[in-house]
Formats: sequence, C-alpha cells, structure tokens
Amino acid sequence: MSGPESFEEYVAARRPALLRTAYLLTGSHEDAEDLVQVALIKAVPHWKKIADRPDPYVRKVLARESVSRWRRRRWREVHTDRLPETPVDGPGDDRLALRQALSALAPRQRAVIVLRYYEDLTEVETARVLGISVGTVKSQARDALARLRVEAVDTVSA
Amino acid sequence: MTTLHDRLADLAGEAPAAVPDPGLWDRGRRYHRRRRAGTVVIAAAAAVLLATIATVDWQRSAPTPVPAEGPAGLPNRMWAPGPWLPSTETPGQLVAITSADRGSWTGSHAGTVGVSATSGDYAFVDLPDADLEYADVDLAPDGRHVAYWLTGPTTGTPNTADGPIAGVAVYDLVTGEVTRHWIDTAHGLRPDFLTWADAATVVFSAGQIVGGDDASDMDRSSSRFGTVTAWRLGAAPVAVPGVPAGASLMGAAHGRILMNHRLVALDESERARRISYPAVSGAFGSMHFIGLGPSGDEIAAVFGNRSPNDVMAGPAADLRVVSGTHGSFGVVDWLDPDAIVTLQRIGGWRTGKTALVKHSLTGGETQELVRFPTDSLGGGWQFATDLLSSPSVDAERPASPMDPRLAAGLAAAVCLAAAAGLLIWRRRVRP
Repeated sequence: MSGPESFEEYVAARRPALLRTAYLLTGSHEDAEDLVQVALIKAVPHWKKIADRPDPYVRKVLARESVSRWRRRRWREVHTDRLPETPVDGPGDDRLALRQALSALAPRQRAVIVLRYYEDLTEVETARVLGISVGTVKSQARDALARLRVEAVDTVSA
Repeated sequence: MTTLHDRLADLAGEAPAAVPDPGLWDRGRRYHRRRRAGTVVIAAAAAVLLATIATVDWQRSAPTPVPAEGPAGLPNRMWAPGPWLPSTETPGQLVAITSADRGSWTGSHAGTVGVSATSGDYAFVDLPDADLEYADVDLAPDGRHVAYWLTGPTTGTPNTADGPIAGVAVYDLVTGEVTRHWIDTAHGLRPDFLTWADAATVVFSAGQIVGGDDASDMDRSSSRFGTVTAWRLGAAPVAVPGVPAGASLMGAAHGRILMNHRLVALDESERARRISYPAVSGAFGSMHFIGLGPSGDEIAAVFGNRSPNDVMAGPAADLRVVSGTHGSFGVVDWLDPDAIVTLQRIGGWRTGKTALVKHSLTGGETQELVRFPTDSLGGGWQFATDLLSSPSVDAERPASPMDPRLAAGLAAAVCLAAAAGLLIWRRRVRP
C-alpha cells in the first residue's frame, strides 16, 4: 500500500516525534509545525518510493529545510523593539540554558547536534541526511559541543 | 548522570502537540504538480531556444560545392564571402576565386574562396601546403586548376618572414590531385609572379632569398633575380628561352607572355619579338598590366599615369581609345579579336559601384557582365577567363553561416541558464 491511506497512517503515527525533532531544530512552536508540514508535503511526490521507509527522507527534508530556511530568513531579518514571546510556564534553569545555547549555534551545528545526540544517528548517517561530508559533521559537532560548554550546558556525558 | 540526549529529549517535550491535518496529501499533490509544471516550462523554454539556435544555424549553413556535370554559368554579381563558409578539396570547376579571411575557433587566417561555375555556391578551397599569407593563388582560364606557391623545407636556415616558399603546385579542382614542383632553395623563395598563360601552362618566377632568419637585415630582405619558368601540365618545368632573369611580367594570355616589351609564344610557334607601347601606371588587383589579344598582335590596357581611365586597344603601333571604357581600372581579358572585358566604375564616381564590362571594339556596344559588392572594387577577384563568355546566371546571395563559436556559446548559455533556473525553481517553490 503506497497511497494516501498509508501516508495518513504515517502522519498520524510519526507527527509527534517529527514535531519534537523540528522543535529542537527551530526552537519555535510555529516554525516546528510549519517545518513538519513542509517536510510531509514534500514527501508526498516521492511517497510511492519511500512508503516502506519514509523516516530517512522526511528527516532529510526536515534537517535541510531548517538550515536553508534559516539562511533565507537571515536576509529578511528586521530589528524590533518588542521582545519575543516567552513561554507562560517557565522551564527549569537547565532547559532554559540549553534552549538559549542551541539558539546561539549556527543552523548546521544545531542540526548536527540534534541528529547526532537526539536522533542518535551515526556520523555517516548525519552526513548523509545533511548532504555534507563526515569530516564536516565531526568538526561541526566538535565546535557545537565546545560552544554549548561555553554556554554552561553540561555536555560531559554527551 | 544526565546525558545530552536526555536533556535534548527533555527540551523536545516542549514541542507543540500534533493536530490532525487531513489536507496534507492533497497539498502534497498540488505541490508536486506545481513543481513539475515549472520544470516542464523551463525545460520547454530551453528546448525552444536550442531549437531556434539550431534552426538559425541550419538556415544559414551553406551547401558545399561538388564537381558536377552541367553548363558553366557566369554569375551576374559577386558577393562578399563570409568567414564561416564550408570548405572542400574538390569544388569542381570554378568561375572565380578571391582571398578572404577564414574563421577558426581561435581567430582567423587567410583562405581562398571559390565560386562554383555550375552551382554558383561559395566555399573555401583547401590547398595542401599552400602559403596563403605571403603569396597568391592563380585560377586557370578554364577554371579547372589553380596554381599556388608551396611552403616547404629549405637546405639552409629558412627565412620564415616569407614562408619559407619552396615550390609551386598545381591543384586539380575536379579530382583534388595536386602536382608539386619543389625548387632547391637555401633560405626560401621570394615570388615575382605566378600566372597561367593558357589553361595548361603555368608561368612563374621567384628569386632566391639571400639570407635566412640568422642573417643580417639586408640579406634577409634581399633576393636574387628569378628565372622565368613555364610549366606545361604533365611535363617538366623549363626556363622560358630568350627572357632575361628578373624580367617583369606585363601580361599573359592565349599561350603568350609579355615580359617587359618582349612578347613570347610559349609553344614556340613564333619567334619572340619586341613590341613598343606607352607607359602603364600599374596593375590593379589581380589583373595584369596589359591584356593580350588572341591573335598575338593586339594589346589593351589603361595606359598613361592615371587610373582609372580609358582603355586603349589594338595593335601596339596603332592603339585607340575604346569607346565606353572611361573609368576602367584595367583589362581582364580579350574574349575574341573584337571584344575585351574591363573592370570599371559604373554610374560615375559617387556610386562606388564597379563591374566587369564587355566592350565591342568595332561596334562600340557594352554589356555589364558581373557586378561587385559596393564595398569592393573587384580587384581581389580572379575569373576563369574562358568562362567570361558563358551564359549569365542570376547570382543569389550565398549563405553566410553562423559563427560556430556563437552558436556553441548560445547553446551553452541556454543550457546553463536552464540548469540554474531548474535548480532555483525546484529549491524555491514552496509547498
């Protein structure tokens, strides 16, 4: 089965997990929802081919789209006097520190951290998902972890 | 101990809750159609542009002349040849030739363009070992052969400023056969002249250059007198008897040559004799100073110090102005004892038009034979003089093939633009 039904089943089953990954990649509820939506829509034309194992393709779109979207957005950024909204239920200090530390990373570094240490992909798999070399994955991960440490995030047990 | 994975998982817990979105599949299909439509449009536009380039290239391509049986014709006008005409080794009988710049991928070089006597097509003629930068090519009166100077080896240091030229070749335009006559030379030859006395006899003279590239300026720029040599097709070249080395060629036609004031019949049917005529200001383009009549008694030329001017014709001792020849640059040939062909201005100075014009010596009638392009006085064209009496043919403008560099560049630019367009479109199209 490789039609709309299997797609709907996949979306129903995997959307929460995809949203969690997207949230880590973007740091924003709206962006995470939008990112997941885009990734799923982009998966539709290829569904016949990927229906048996859609995750690698959807994850690839998710990660690459988050990087390219950040680049596009950087050109359109405008300064504002209003501070962005903050969650009503304040998180703990650790969570807040991690969120701020992640937001300070370059988008590709952030994607490497999420894929390597949240999705538990290998370096080779991470490189394949992002379309970069394994060496780049290693260097990006090293730099990102160093930066997280500077931001006082405990990564000793990464 | 908390791992980074645990902390990331903890942060991921803030992710928004999944909300059912039943329209995703349809939006995905629409996105796919839009993406594909853009791809098709870009690919189709590129295909149309490539087809347009190919069509223009094909429409502007020129047919290559080939040897063909059929009546020869005299085009009623000549056209400036383009640098990208096709080339051929066997164009068949030619009615005219001219030198022209020949385009190549890295620039241009000298070439010889021939006009087919049977089809009127234009093409570059490939002449093996020809030296087209420093020496001319001469078309036989019947249009079936050309003679040209050869570049080749020297026994000493070559003088590369002039080739080096080391021989003469006769090329059969119908079969592509080339007959070479090598001349022993230490540094190369400096041509005096190369012409046809009739359809089967080449006459030439070239002096030995005194010094090669390693010699003094004086030696490099000096040459000895050449021996006037007649080369009948199928026979060995022989020195023309009774003609001193270094003599100047004034005219050649109908089996005779006029060297200074000495008229020589190459078949030795008559003794060489001296004739007197007034001073001639010079030779224009590829024409000789003096046109020789078919009987051997008459000559015709623009005598005096002014050119263009009237043509005088007749026995050397009784030259008379030919009516209607005012503004002539020279005499191309005698067609018969009663008719000459001149190269002259048409319609006065301001028009800038020139043509080959046939003049009757007794009746005074004139007939325009061949009109030249307005940017050319016609002196660079050589005609197969035996074909000047052929029926006139309405000459269409020859094809002017497109510069292949331009076509390739345009095609590459279209492909690159299409590839870039596809890349940008497929990346930027939003779901």
